[in-house]
Amino acid sequence: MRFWALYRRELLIEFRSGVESFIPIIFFLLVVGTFTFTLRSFIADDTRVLVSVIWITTLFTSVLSLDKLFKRDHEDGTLAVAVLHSNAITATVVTKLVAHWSVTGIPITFLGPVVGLISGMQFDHALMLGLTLLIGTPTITMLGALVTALLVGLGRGGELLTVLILPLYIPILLFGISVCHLHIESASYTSELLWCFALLTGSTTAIPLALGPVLKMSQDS
Amino acid sequence: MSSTHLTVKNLRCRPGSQELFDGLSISVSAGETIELRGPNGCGKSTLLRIMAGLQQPDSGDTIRYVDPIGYIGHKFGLASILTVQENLRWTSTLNRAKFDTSHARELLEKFELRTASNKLIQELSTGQRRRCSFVCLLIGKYKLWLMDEPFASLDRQGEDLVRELIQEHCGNGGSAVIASHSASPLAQALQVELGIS
Repeated sequence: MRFWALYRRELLIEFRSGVESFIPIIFFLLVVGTFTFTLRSFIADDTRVLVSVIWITTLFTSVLSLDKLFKRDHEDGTLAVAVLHSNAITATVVTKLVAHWSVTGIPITFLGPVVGLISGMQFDHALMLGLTLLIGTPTITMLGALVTALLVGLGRGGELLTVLILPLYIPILLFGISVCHLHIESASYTSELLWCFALLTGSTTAIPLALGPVLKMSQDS
Repeated sequence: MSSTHLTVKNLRCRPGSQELFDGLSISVSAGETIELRGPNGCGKSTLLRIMAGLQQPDSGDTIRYVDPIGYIGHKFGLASILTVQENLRWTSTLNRAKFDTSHARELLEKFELRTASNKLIQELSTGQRRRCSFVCLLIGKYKLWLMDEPFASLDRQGEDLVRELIQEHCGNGGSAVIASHSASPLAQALQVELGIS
């Protein structure tokens, strides 16, 4: 019951923020659309180009959206209130991340394959792209949240966030793209896919537990 | 069972070149009100944040015997794009308590926020926001209250109400530490004077 109450609150905040919440998705569509349009002859020859474009754009979209993940709560003092409830901070943070993923990760997971299909990607290739994004976007959210939590007290997101987050994203980017490329080439992709699952499992189990203490520490700055 | 709610021992805080306090020890027990007084920049807010666990001192220990702690800082701890009612519900959720609508209505009535219950926090005046943060404090049923300038932006009536509330809370076995600039000190409060060294 507590999860749903917290989740409802986070979604309300996202939707009441209006267009601000949807800017990352608009950004994703604009960038992928621009690449698809300008590289259409390459994409027609080899859809692996489009897979890479979609994955890289997903990472940049994540950086754009994560900048505000804890910022508003820090500014209005609700983050300080939440960290003082040591028995509720993990649940609060997890629901916040799930809500964030619901408004950015899920739309990208659907929109990525749709853009692929529109650009002439085979259905099964688009499906595999969707699967890797389904595994990859929550991993990206978790990794990004850790860095955002460290920076929230400093009041410096933006460029510092980008520089610190992007190296952490490289493993999931490489494995996500590899799975799609190998699938398109009809080669075996099992080990790469297992690595994607391993990264998802590791980040979703360890990071939520670390976020409470990190957020508390970030108040002291 | 110990009736001590919070103890700070030998605190030292020196942000930059200025020493705020050194060797400061305070114990807060059930029924006690401690009022921190002193000029601007003497470390009242810093001490409250250290007591809450939001800031680390340079040295010394802070032992909290109650958890969670009710804290109202310079920021009110209210989500600006949620309504008063939604913020109160959140406080209940954080405290794993079922939201008691009639109790919340009573408190909102007491703080003259009844008509504002469905308004967004960002639509309220600063005084109303402060009143709302007190309602959250009461909804949370915290034993120890840490309040930074609780009377700021309140009208005379609001200030009297908060004074009465603190007295009632401590009378019921709660405790409070308040940083204040108010000309009239709180009745029955232990005064702790901080100064810049």
